[in-house]
Amino acid sequence: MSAISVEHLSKHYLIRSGRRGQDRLVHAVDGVSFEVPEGRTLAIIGESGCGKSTVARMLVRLAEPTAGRILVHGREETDRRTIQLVSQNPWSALNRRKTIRHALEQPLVVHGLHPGAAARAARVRELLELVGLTEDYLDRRPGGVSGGELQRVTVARALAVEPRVLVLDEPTASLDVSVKALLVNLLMDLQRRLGLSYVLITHELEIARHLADEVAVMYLGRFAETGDAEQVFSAPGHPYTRALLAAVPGPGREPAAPLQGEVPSAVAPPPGCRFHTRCPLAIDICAQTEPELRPGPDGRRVACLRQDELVLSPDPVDKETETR
Amino acid sequence: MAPATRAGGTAATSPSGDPPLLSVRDLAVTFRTRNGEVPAVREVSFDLARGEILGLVGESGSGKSTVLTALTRMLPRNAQVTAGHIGFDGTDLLGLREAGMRRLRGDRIGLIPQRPMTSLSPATPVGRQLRWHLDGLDDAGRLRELLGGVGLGAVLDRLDGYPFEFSGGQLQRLLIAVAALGKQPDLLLADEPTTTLDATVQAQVLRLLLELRDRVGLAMVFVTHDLGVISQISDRIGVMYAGRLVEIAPTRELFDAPRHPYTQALLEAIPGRYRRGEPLRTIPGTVTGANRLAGCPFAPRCAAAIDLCHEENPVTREVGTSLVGCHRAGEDL
Ligand SMILES: Nc1ncnc2c1ncn2[C@@H]1O[C@H](COP(=O)(O)OP(=O)(O)OP(=O)(O)O)[C@@H](O)[C@H]1O
Ligand SMILES: Nc1ncnc2c1ncn2[C@@H]1O[C@H](COP(=O)(O)OP(=O)(O)OP(=O)(O)O)[C@@H](O)[C@H]1O
Ligand SMILES: [Mg+2]
Ligand SMILES: [Mg+2]
Repeated sequence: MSAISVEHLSKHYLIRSGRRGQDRLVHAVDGVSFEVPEGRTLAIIGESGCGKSTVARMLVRLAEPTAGRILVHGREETDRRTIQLVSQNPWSALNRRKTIRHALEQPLVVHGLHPGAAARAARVRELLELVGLTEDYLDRRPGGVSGGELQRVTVARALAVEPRVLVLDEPTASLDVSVKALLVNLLMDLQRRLGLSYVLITHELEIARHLADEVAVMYLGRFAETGDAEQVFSAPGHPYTRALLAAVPGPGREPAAPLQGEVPSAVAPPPGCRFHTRCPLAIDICAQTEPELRPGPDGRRVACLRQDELVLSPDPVDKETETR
Repeated sequence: MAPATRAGGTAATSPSGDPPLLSVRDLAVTFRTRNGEVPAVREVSFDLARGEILGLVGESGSGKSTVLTALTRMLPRNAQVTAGHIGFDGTDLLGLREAGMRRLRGDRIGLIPQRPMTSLSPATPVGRQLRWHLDGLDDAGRLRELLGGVGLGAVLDRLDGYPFEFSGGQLQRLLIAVAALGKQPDLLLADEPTTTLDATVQAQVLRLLLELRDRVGLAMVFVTHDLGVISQISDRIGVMYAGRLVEIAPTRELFDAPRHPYTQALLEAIPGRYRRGEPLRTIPGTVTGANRLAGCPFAPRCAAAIDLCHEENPVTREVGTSLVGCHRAGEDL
């Protein structure tokens, strides 16, 4: 049974009347489906504002889907312990009047884990250690620690209740490379030992590449491409995936020219393929017909009308590492 | 999009002969907490020329954000600048009255804070907050230009929404639009401004900042953990560890010949060089408590440490075009 199974999930936000005096809908997520097998990792990558955090929030029931179905371990109702979110914005995820000790002890109390003050304190110490922090931080409030320290507190907090599934929304964004490595190793270790399943949302493609079994590439509320992570990263299929991978800078590597054109509005997504307004390969039909995710010969699925004409080519990241 | 003016001179001072725009000397900042004092920044010194971009990297908690907030004099109440001097275009910033400082923050020194959410009011529509910060925004063309520049053209018709109705990266770009494009300050302090952006949008924003530097001579301190980004945007790079600036060098030099053992360890931990699923290299040991040690703060984790390193904090030395705070700098390690 899959850890997570999502069918035709959508979220449309209603926004109040603007100048035009009409209520409008933001098409944040528009009919995405995916599975995360138990003990596996799915990475969701994509443009800022394309709906990744909205998916994450729906998975942990912080947002109500407009349509579609979410099953966690085959069930629609799950208790809060099973699936935990590490929020993109640690600052708003924690109560800023309460200490970090409170943030870590409270979930233990709520779920009756490690009863007794001494056992709880020991568990809190252990959690801090996992993310490279010490007891020094316990009496501070969220405002009294650095950005990366706070981010690690939220990871420790999510781990506190021993979830089976973790939804990680940019968990390593503000960490230095060494602490990032510590966290990546921790996630791999937990998965190996306890069989945890992860949905990992990240802009750091190297982290996604390192951790993910499968990857979904999102653009304006829909999936443009899904498939085996190694396949997608080494030979991106969809023109958007290619543009995204080509834009990654590295020491001694100039990023490719950025995408041309404006990001379309999620209030009025373009007809046809949502990427056609910026796609270097777009032809007339792309503005009319909406492409479905179709499996290609290698099993990976691409939503592109010109899929059969696309020649898969190794990405620049690979070339770079080979010549180093 | 290589920076147009790679710094050529020595690392301590700016490459041109002109007096620097910003000059920081022996800056020290301490936080009071229940468990005693946290010396978050110590003996930090650097210069910045007009139009120059200094990248700042370093361990999580090493004091990068604290340096930036000290430069804008917006430290929290439990913080104290215990020593040092900050000169900005001939003005002594630490001695300046609050009103004068407010004026500088208004139009000459811009800050993009690390936590976008905290610098926006949650209960006020975003469009109104933009107007608080920028005069002349009633001009629709100017607004389109500002937001279009950071790829936010798509939310122009949603500006009556509240901050929670925007994605993390959208909020971050709103702040970049205000602080960099809107105000066009002389000095921009950018605290991880692109961490919540995907690669394509990030490339657009970096390009824009570089273009602003070339056009109006914007100088910038740019904090990031992304070594790819920092290599693209910086003329020089400063590396912080446990409150100290342990190395500062021209960008090329830092990547080609990192001198401080911490810098070397940092460059070795870049993930792209590993096979999938393989454990990534971390720097063994922990930084905790290091800022209270007598000797070099990195000594407990340093493979090259000798007795002296545990006893005395090294003074900063010039090695080639780098400035390094290491007793063994210049030795072949
Ligand atoms: N509460 C809300 N009301 C209205 N619109 C919203 C709301 N939350 C998010 N949106 C919009 O939905 C879209 C998707 O937002 P989401 O936060 O899911 O993006 P994201 O992919 O996580 O982006 P980022 O990478 O920048 O964090 C965006 O256009 C955003 O402005
Ligand atoms: N308000 C505060 N009270 C007490 N200590 C603080 C406060 N703010 C920061 N600190 C401590 O000061 C040190 C420096 O923090 P700072 O935010 O400058 O780090 P940073 O280099 O920006 O880290 P990051 O990369 O994680 O954002 C940290 O050890 C942090 O815990
Ligand atoms: Mg998000
Ligand atoms: Mg910081």
